[in-house]
Amino acid sequence: MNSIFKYLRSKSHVLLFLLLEILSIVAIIRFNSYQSSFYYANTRTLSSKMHEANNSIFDYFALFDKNQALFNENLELRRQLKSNYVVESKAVFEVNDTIYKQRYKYYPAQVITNSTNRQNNFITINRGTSSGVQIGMGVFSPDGIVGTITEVSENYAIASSVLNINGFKLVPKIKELNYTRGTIVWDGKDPNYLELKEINKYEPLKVGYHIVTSPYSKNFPENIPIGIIERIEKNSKETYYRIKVRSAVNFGKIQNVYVVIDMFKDEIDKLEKKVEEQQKKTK
Amino acid sequence: MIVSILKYLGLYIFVLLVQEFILKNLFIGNTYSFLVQPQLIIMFLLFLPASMSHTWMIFVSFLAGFIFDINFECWGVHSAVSTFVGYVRYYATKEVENVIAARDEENQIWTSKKGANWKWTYFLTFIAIYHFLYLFLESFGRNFFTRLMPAFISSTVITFFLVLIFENLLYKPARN
Repeated sequence: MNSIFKYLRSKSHVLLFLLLEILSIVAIIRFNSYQSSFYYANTRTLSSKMHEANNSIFDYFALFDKNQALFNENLELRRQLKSNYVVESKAVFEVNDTIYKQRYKYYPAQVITNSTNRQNNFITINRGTSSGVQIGMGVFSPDGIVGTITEVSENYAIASSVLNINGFKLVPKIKELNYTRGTIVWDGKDPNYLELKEINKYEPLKVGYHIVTSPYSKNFPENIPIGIIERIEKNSKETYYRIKVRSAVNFGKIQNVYVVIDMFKDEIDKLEKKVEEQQKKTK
Repeated sequence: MIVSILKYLGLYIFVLLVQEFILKNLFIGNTYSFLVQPQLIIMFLLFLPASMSHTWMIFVSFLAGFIFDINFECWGVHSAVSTFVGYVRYYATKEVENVIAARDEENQIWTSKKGANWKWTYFLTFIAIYHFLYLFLESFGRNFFTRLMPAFISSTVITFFLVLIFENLLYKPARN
């Protein structure tokens, strides 16, 4: 303690200098109107900049929560989309007597594992039978379609990714032409590109057209993005175009997805089976 | 001791009066009056005894600046600058204090006992520091090149000559 006092005494002139300087500077800012306004204007600018920097740091750390909140909000909005409902009209001859019945529901899920470097890629999500997830349900991210569920356990499910040369096929729609035909597949090469097959070469296609899900895209509601046409090749010996589609989804960065529940799936499946059985019987 | 204190008190009052009645009223209302802002208080700070302790030097400098502030309504500007000059001046003069302070008797100011080159450098350096800081604190760096720097240069030069003149008028030149 004594040595501290001794040290302070030896530096008394420095302490006195600092004290008097601080007093003087406070007096300058306190009692001179120009200096005062200059000081407060600048400190305000500085403090607001510091607040901004501070906020941006905290915002960064709150991104996950915000993302989650937006994701849930988006889910709620998706549930309200008109495309989830089908028109149920019982009075055929009456005008404007339509009722909408919900067809699609969505479950939010998070991707646990994901691969893009194989020929057959799969995605594991944290939803299973306990959440109502079943085999065959569609999976899409906020950017576009991701795949379909192929295996389910109680709490987890595995989806066959769009990047799967055997397990994924879809009938898409060319949004600009409102033209539903062809098949979307992956050729097993670049995870950023898909192939649109079986599109007649006389169709007025253009680069930049949007490929989305169609009413015939099983397990998906209509108009979910698939990709954008990036290259169109025409071959005189072939009937169809060779179309390269840039995938709407960056498969390397998928985090949150939605699982699509088609409420009419069972009914449609039963009908299809019935027709098949009838056809077999007639044969 | 008392004589010495009274001598410096007299010097301070002289500086204050010159500042109040002459320098303050120079070129009032003139477009270029901003160029003439000599602060003669620096003369008092430069002439303070070299033998003074560092703590006393700082305190007396602050007090001198504080009284100037009250008189010229600068609130803190002179105090801040003169305290700084008092603090720094000690390091510039402490090496000469033993040699010269002992001879600081009679009617001689100790600065005149050093060589002319040293004295002029000493005067000019501290006059420049004082005026730069004073003008900077007064305007907070506004119009730095158009007003502050010209005012700093001209005021420094004017003060330098005033200090030389007053030193010769007030004190007998040293006999070598």
